[in-house]
Amino acid sequence: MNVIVLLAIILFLLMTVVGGKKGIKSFVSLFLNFGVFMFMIFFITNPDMNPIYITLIASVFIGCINLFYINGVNNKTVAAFISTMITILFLLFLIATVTKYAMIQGFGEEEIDELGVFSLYIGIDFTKLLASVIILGTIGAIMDVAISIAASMHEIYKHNPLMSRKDLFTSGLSVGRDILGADTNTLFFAFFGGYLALLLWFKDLSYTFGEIINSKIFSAEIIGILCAGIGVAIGLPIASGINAYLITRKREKQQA
Amino acid sequence: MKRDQYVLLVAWIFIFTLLITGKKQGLLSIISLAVNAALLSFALDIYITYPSISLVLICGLSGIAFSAISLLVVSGFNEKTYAAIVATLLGTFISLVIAYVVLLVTSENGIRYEEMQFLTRPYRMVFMAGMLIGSLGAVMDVAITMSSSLFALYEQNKDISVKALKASGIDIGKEIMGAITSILFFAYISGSIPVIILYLKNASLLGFTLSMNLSLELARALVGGIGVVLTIPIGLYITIYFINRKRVKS
Repeated sequence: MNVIVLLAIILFLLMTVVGGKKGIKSFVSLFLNFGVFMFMIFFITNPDMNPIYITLIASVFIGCINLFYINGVNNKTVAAFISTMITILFLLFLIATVTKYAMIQGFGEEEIDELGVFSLYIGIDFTKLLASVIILGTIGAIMDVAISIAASMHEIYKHNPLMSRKDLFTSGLSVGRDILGADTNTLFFAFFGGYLALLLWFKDLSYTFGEIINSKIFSAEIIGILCAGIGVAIGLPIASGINAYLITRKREKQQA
Repeated sequence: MKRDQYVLLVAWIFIFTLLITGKKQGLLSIISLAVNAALLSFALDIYITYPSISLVLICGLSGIAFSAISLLVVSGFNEKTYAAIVATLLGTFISLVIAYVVLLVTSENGIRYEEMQFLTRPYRMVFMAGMLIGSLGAVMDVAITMSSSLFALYEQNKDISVKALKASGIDIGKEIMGAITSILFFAYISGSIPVIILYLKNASLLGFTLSMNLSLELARALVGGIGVVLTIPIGLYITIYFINRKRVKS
């Protein structure tokens, strides 16, 4: 029996037992996300298409799956969706600037050996591909921050329907800070765990600190991780702002 | 090529944005992150100097340190944090046991270790150790969220019944289950994109490409997900135990 299949079955059983209907939906959403991922890969292999646009479209779908399918379409999820998209756009701008100057796209010297049999002249722009990698890596965390803030702020508003927009915004920020810490932790540990092998390799070869930081692989990873963290960090004020705006606008409309 | 100035630049932007939006929490997060990174580096150094010690053992001990440091620094020294730490350790441990049993039972059918191309070390252990660390973050997230929310409910109403706490706990768990698993899922598979594209453009078959490149990532993501889901009831019961203890004291 295949490891992946068995693990997936165990996860499905656990999600159903602990989560009930929502658990099943969560599991299905993982599948759907993977499906979007596959579609994305398929389109990226076409050299005429810009990987960044493809990633953005994929993000829209992923947002819909994780927000609307699992939680339904309501004020909270719509606000979370908008917050996510805006955060991604900001992040994209940042990544584009950095990758252009740091030349970290493609593969480093360490990877080239293993990939020697492959032709690297495949007509795909690796810089844009890296942007795609970083955005996809962060999207989960950005969505989590967005939906948590949306949910909390709506709760706060329910208890204080007369709150001003500014107060709503600041309260959103303060509630979100805890989530910020937890999510950056999750992201970073996931990356640490994934690249443990690489770290060991560097240590084995006694790379000096300077060599490590300058190597393409390490700097690409670190910059990717940092951008992911930045994405989460700016996701907080963006989500708070969007929610504050939407909530008070709805209130103004009701009063009018 | 000189890249370190860009790494530094992005690092400063990161610290800057985290401090602005996160304020004190942001600062604490950065501190705990830095301490954890240093600890990891130190632990790896020990492993290299004494390779006879199991890497999994070293990472396990480091894992205890990571959870303790991260949670204590960011949430403070209180019952909420203690509950979260215990829940984290239990959840991670059990999910790792499950992972180990699955690997044993399936004779690792489906996992392509070739992907760990850099390796000069026993690959199986490095993989397990990596999985431990990767799951730790997600499990911590669940544990502290459960603990904070339940303790907050208790603070608002000291007489709240265990039944009500359980109901709220399960609700909270259901909300975060999908979200946190997604974080893991995307964090892991995003890194494989360039290599997958490379394989496909060089006319490798889709099935071969995916099995070669995604097997490790998917395994990690699934084990992490299992850890997350397990920690929901575990965190719930442990937090309730701590709340009852606090209630008895006061």
